[in-house]
Amino acid sequence: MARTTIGLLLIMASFALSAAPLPESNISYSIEVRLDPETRNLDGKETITWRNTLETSVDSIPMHLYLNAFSNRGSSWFQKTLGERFQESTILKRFDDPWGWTEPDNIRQDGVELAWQPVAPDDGNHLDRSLIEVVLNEPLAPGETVTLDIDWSGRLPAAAARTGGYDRFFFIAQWFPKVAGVRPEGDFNRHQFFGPTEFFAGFADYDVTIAIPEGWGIAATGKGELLRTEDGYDWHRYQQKAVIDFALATGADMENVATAHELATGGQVDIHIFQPKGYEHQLARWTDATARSLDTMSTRVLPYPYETVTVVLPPRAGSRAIGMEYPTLFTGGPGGEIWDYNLIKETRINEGVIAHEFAHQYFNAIVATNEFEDAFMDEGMTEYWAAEIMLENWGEESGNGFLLGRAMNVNASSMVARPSETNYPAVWSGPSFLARGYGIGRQFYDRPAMTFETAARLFGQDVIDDVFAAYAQRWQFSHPRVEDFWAVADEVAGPQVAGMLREAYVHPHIPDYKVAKLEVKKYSPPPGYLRDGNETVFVDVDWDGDKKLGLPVEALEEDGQVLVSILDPGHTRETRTMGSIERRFLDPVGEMEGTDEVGEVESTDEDETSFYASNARVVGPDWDHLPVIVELRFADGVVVRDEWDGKGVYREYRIVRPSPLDSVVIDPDYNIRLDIVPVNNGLKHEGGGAIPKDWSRWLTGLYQLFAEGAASWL
Amino acid sequence: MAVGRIFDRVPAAVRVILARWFIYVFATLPGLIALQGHLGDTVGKRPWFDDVEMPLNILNLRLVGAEISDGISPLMFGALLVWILQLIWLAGAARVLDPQADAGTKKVFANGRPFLWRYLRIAFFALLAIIVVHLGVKAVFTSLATRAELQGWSVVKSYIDLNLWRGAILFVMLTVIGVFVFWVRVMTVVTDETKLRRVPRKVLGLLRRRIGAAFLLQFAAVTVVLALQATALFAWRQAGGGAVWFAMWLLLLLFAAWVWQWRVSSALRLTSELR
Repeated sequence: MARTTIGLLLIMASFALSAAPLPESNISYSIEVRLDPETRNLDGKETITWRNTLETSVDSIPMHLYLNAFSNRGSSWFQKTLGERFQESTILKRFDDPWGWTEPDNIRQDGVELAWQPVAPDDGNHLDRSLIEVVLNEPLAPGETVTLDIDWSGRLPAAAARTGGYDRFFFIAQWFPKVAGVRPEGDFNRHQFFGPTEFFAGFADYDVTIAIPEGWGIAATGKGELLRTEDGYDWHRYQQKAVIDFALATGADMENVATAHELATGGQVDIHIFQPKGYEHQLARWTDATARSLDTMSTRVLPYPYETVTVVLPPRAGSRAIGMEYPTLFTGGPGGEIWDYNLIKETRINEGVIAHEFAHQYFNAIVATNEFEDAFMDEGMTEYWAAEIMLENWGEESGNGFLLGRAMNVNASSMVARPSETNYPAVWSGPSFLARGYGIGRQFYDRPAMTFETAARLFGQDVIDDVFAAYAQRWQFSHPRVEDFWAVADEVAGPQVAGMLREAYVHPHIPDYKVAKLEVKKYSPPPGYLRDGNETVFVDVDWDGDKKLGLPVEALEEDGQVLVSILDPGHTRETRTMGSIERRFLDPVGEMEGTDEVGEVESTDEDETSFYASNARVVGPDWDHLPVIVELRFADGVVVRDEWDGKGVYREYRIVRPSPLDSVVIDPDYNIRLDIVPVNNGLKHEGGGAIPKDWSRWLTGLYQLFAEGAASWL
Repeated sequence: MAVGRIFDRVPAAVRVILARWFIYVFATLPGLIALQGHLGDTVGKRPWFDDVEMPLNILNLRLVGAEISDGISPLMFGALLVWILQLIWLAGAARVLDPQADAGTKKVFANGRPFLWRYLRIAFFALLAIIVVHLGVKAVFTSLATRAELQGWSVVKSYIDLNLWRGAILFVMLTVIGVFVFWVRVMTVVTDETKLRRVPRKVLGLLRRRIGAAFLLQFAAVTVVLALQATALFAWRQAGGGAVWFAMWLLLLLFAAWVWQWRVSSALRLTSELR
């Protein structure tokens, strides 16, 4: 479809999209807190009102004390974390006391102090205090509201894993005692804090007053104002309805610059850029990236419902906070002169980070899936939409900019890997915080994102856009599971699309189509007794008689069609589908570059009467919803295509023609972006091209340089 | 044999240069052929790469890189062979090019072979020195990285500048060690010393007396050759490749061989003056 047509459809579709007005929340937080930058201490008072939306009475309420993940090395966050997210090897060396914690001093209901205790339902870890259970005075019936008053103390870690800080910059996230979210199944999300995954909470109204050192810059969730200055502290108040979290950043050398942006779908959003002072010349770039993200998501998914969005670009002291999402506020890459650096400035790495973290405003800040259990939901959708933002605004080849003059493609580069890396559990596996032994980047981000990309290429971009728009419309300010997404896909796009999306999530292993074999032999009559008309001819192994003896008449291609024998081995599901050998006549669809017209036999041999028996085998993942085109390209330029439904673990092609098979290519348009090794989708009979020769020489030069280095130093 | 006799009539310096060039080219030739065959069977047979633009974009760079890793072993072996052969060649050249050598001293390889074991022992101690230097540089820069974080240095300074400086300082230190090792080897041949522990003192004495000619010029020569080669390889890849680049590379190897011969001759002249 032409780009202009797609554009018109998108504009029309945008009128149909609408964000619901911000809903009433069943939770509200009123928090007053003071930050002491010297000690990293937080002194907080908090009033929570919580209405019971469960169908049963509640005796106790679980609350997250996320900062306790950083209180000691025995916490479940440390014990179960993947890799070095805390960067403990460096942080423990660099800071005498990097630890952080939160502890309620008291929790009261109607003035009566409540009992509470740490609980560890996931792993029984007695050193973990990231989850507590607060016992209410009396059971709270469905629909009733409880008000809890909490005095608490806390301490931020020394800038670790997206929270904390030191000296003159602090990123303050997951910092206050927070009621656990209610799962779609109707019970509390009683999970401790583990490393691999992030958060889940109900929608709440926040009213936060925070004291920071006088003159420091601040950025936070929602809209804010300076209330007063007293005793060397600025007291700011920020408010925001219907968000799942509240985060803020503050720093001595930071400035917050706002620009009003008219949304493509109507309405205005204030874009705030919070970055180190002295880099005003970069503001337009980051504001533009955010505005483009806003418009792409608003026109294709759902109009952005909030009045502000804030991008925090932390200084060096906050570099461990980069690339993380919170409602109406997120961190991009590091702020400052890195983006003026020659090697980096031609890239669009920071635009990519902004696009990704902005897309998180939708998945999971507005459509609030459970990151503890379903990290693939928000990360996968976000990764896909970040790529869409980059594609729509900057193009596929140049979308991520250039590194040393080399294009950084938007898609595919993160998905491709070696054939040995296909062995992954199903995407749907859960809970996500138990993910171990494989790359969570590929599992939570790339696989789902490439599933949507593949679906868009197979079924149409507008179809997948419609699915996401309907999903966001229906589940905004709610907590869906992936089954809800499939249901929307089924309604909007039909069972084929829904089936493909579901299969990609429930099927273990990452699909890999490949051409396993390509053989070509010059045709010669098979030795033995052959019938030639009414005669029986004995063909011996040294036969030099009629070379076409025994040749099927269809091989002459007098009608221009190519006879292909297709061996389909069948497949098994609940029942067995028998395979077959099908003789199919295929019309040439085009010609290869550098060859003669279709059907015109080009001499590839000294003997123009020669025929060739070609044989190719392609293998696939045996999925139900991953059809591919298999292209057979012959040396005379003839190209024929077979539509393989992808069922069965292989498929074999046999052709006798006047020209040998030159190459076989599965998925020539590279629609199956989910394919983990796209290069093995094609195989040529003869090797060639400039790369093998030139790269071999160059690598030889490189090793000669190593040898020169060794000779110079050893 | 006839070729050998003709070769013997060529001036020693030219023979040394050409032979060193041959060592580099032919010791790595099996690796080149093997890798070309491997890439021909992998990258060369993949239609994916048929119409890719040069220079390769980042995705294709990764894909080609993945195919290369399985076929690189012969080249690694070739580089090791180059290193060992050039050890012998250095010892032989130090004999053949020595102005005070006997008129009959012409066979470079035969003259160099007896020194191989001593040269390998020198390499062992050089390796130890390199490890110590590496650990020292690492410790210093780890400490600087801590300071960078605690004092809030900029991202460029913390992550880019520090690493560039670390690389540059390591290069300088390695080259300093390399120049010293080179002198130890030349001095071992010149003095025909079997007790290696006596050689460093002689080298230090010489370096103290002739710091410019014996150290700075040698240091500059090594740096220029390595920097030129690294720059050429980078430019070759950035340009997208081509036979001209390969030819230019072969010429650069010849230039490196000439510089190496000059280093040996220069060192021998210095020792000759001091003998």
